[in-house]
Amino acid sequence: MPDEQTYRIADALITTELVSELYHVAPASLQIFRIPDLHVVKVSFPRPVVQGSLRDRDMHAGQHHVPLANVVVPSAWRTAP
Amino acid sequence: MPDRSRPPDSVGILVPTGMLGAGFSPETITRGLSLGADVIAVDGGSTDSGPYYLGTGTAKTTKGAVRRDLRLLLVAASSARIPLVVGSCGTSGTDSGVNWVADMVNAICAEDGLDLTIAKIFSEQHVDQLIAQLERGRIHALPPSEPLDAATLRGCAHIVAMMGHEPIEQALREGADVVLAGRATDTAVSAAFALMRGMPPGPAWHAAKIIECGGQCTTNPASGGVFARIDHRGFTVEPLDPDAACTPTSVAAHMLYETVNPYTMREPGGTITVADARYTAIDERTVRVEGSRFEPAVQYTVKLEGAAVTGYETVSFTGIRDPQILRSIDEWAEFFDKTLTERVESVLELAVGSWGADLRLYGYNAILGELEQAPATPAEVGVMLLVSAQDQQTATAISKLANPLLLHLPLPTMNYLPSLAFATSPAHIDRGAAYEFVLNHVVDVDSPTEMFRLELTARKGPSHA
Repeated sequence: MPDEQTYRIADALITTELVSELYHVAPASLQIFRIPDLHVVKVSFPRPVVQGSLRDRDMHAGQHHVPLANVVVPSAWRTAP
Repeated sequence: MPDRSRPPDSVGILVPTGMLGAGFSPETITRGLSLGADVIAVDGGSTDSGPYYLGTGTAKTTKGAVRRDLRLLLVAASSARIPLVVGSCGTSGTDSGVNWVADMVNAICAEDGLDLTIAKIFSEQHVDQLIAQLERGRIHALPPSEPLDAATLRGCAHIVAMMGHEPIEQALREGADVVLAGRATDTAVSAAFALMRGMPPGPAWHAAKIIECGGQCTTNPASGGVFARIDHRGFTVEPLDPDAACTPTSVAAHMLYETVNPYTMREPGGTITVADARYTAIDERTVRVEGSRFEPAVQYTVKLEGAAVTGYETVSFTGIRDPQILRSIDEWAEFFDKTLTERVESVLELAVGSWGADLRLYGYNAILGELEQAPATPAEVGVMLLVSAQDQQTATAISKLANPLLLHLPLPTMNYLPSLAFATSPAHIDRGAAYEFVLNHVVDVDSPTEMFRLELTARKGPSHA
């Protein structure tokens, strides 16, 4: 995130439940790393579709972030979470 | 041979680009040499782009681009009398990939009169030897994969083992000026020389991870190359492009890239740990890193990569602009799947399971599929049909049965046949064999070099070791 304040919003918004719901993956398969020094929240989970298989529509998982990026920040949070 | 018993104070590593063949300006090489590069290291391959390259043993990069980059690097290495290391040659690091790069190197050396000793390190594996290892209980699955069986090994078109730094170091010690390695870990390519010179493993491996993608660790990822200086307490990194910068954030952030866990990364010989690393700006474009650690593993393990044919494919494409169909596009797609399945069963007598089809609606929900929460009614859709079967003939036959559906399939409620927009004639293209990565396993080894084969050409003169 660009700064401390937006990092705190991302940190509060990104939960196991949210990611599990957005990406249809089991909560137990998720790892979430919160890195305040870098203003980064990193989420890792096993690739749901085998790369290059018949139903793989994104070889490099390049657009996989979009559902998370599209999550709307509650308006009450936009001043402080 | 010169006395190398005292390690130098530091080692300079020039990485010109994140991928051999991606290109870089000659000025960046001049700059890197002027900073006192002791080695040029560059990655020649990746699994990023999928299993096809390993499956076929062919390169993703085009020959002209690779040759152009190689020529600049070989001339620079020769004039500065420093070694050049290329890892994962030919994209997948197969034996054919190593030979492909070696042929270019030999031709350039002959054309430009460069007298260099070339080392080739082969990493392809024989199935029978791996099955023997499997039977001895020496092969283990990495999560989330299942234990390996012999049938999976036999089904692979090619299998490579991923070397650490030791085979590369061995080649350098035996006098190589140019090391062309098969499949290697991204980090081993630049860590090898530093470790050979006695630099501590924590900084050497961490620096190697940061610089392996070239400009990715800078504020301008398109800028190309980077230069790292590794010493006995840490390392310093800067971009080769004078207009780009490394910042503590850009450098630290690279550990987020292509790894599950940003704090630890397993190499064949142990684990890089950066949880306690400290990143400091030396100036507005140079970063100092200290506190990196490398923890040796009890058991040295070598990772295998293998690609197997999963079927033969045909791709077809049509376009839909008709608003009536587009308002009920999900219904149209469902009707398509049902109708095609019935046609294939009736005409080709093939049951579902022996073939597959994926209907993708670009402009609607092709990329995200069921993750697309509320796709809007599109103004236009590109329909891609991907068919997979056990042989090419069948995939093509199924696609030919699909052709009139892609051209004329109506909504169930329509009382006329629409005509949709084929982009080409014919509307299908045969893709040939499709591959998947089928190995995610490691082999316990007694020696870091036992799975790799070194070939050195003869040369006169002192070595770099």
